[in-house]
Amino acid sequence: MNRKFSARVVASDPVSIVVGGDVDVESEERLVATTHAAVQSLDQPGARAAGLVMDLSAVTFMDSSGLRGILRSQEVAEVKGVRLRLRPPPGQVARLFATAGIADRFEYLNDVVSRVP
Amino acid sequence: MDLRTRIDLRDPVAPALDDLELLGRNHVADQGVAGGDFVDVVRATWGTALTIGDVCGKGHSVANDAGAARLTLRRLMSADPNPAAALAALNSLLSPAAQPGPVRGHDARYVTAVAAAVRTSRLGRDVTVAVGGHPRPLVLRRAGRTEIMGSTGPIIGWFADGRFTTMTCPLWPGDTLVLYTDGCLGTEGADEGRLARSMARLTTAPLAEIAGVLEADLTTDDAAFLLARVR
Repeated sequence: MNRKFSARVVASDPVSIVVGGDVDVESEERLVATTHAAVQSLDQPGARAAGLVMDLSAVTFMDSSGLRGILRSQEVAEVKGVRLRLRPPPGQVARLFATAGIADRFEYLNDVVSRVP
Repeated sequence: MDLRTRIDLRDPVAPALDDLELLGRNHVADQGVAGGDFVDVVRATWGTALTIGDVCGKGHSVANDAGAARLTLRRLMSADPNPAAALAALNSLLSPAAQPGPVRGHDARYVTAVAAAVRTSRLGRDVTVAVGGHPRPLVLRRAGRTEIMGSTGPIIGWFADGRFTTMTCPLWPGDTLVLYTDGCLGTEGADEGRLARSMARLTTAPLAEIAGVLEADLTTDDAAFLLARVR
């Protein structure tokens, strides 16, 4: 039943942490370690200013340990003065954030879609 | 084979009450390891306090924290029937003083909980609840309606500036208050609305039957619930 967890740092602008699969007690540590690596990779002043984006759109399931992994990731970025923004997560994760009363504790990346009139 | 351990709520955890019919159960997922969910009922001078909670994580230290959280809330609620103040006090006890502090590790805990105060006044009976990062309680009306009660507050013990609010509603004879942990929400993930809808045909069912529905789709995690019907 477990869908394989993955987390990788993508050198986009801004730098993204792309997370997929089940984020739970098995994968919490790897999520935090990946965030740590992403923060370390921001060695250019420009990249630091742009901050990090965590993309949770491919997450299939998250439990309370996974949620703690997200909160710890936020701290990892915060103590280094790096702004961490989330891409709006899928339904189950959004419901988990809402039940936990923490949805407003994150900054979200609003995709700017350029519209041609 | 079901490897869960079922703990039924009983004395001295649940005092015999003449005004409430109670049924509480705590299903521990890992056999031989005490769970992180807790339920509690205490008779206070002002009425009855009902609490439920869930400590994030697994293992004996989590169970230890669950017991500590249960008794802390019991003491706070016994002294003052203000559930928001009780959750705020528990939050202050568990949260680090300054943010941003050092990055917390995988052993860092947070708690989710609901605290409820059932009181009788000359106008009738009412319940006041506060919610910290936890699925909101349900009220099953004898007349057939199901209501999700309270407003969500943050998880307890992570954010020092967490704010909790109370909500009060009347309870009439035959109404049932349902407190539960997310282990009862099924494998589809936290969906309060779906559970509320599944309860709609059970508002006058015996408590044991409601318990059976809550136990029908337990996740692999710990699961606990507390049912209180007004006599």
